Amino acid sequence: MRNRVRELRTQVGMTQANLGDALGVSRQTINSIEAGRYLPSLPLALKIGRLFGSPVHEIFEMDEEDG
Amino acid sequence: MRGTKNGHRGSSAAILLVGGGAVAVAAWAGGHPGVAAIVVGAYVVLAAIAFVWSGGSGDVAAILRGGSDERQRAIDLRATAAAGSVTALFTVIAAIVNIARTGGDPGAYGAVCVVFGISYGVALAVVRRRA
Repeated sequence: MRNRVRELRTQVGMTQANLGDALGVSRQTINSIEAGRYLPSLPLALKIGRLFGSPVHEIFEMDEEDG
Repeated sequence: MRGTKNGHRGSSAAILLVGGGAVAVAAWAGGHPGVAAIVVGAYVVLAAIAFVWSGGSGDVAAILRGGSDERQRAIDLRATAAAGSVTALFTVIAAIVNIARTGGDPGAYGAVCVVFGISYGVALAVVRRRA
């Protein structure tokens, strides 16, 4: 999975800690999501989409190997 | 810092102190006050380490506080499962070794194997129902 969380976060001038606070998760979790190491749950992905005003499918994209 | 300071800093320390206290009382009641004193000392040190560590902002600190987010809960769950698997494997091996040494008696390891097997079966049924 690829995602645009880092890109959207920097566009609005938020730090990882700011975004974590806004979503109720840790800075480390934001870092892991941005790095593609952790796939957020559907509720968290929806929260991210709502925060950035983007549908989830425009933030998270499947890689070729994800099928 | 809502996302990084949830939970209670003293959670893990309190669990260690209660557990250590129970072990110390058992040792005292069993007529080993020296062992009880050593247990108390060891658990107080462990509780102090847990308390200090819990004050941090890392993943382990959040897990120790019991105030973790979904990723940290997943880390905790996987670590618990890994530790449980290693413990189960160790117990099975120890039971087999005991059977070989005593000619059929697995000792306390056998009871632990039975408890593990039954509790895993029950947990599987309950968790599957909820999933």
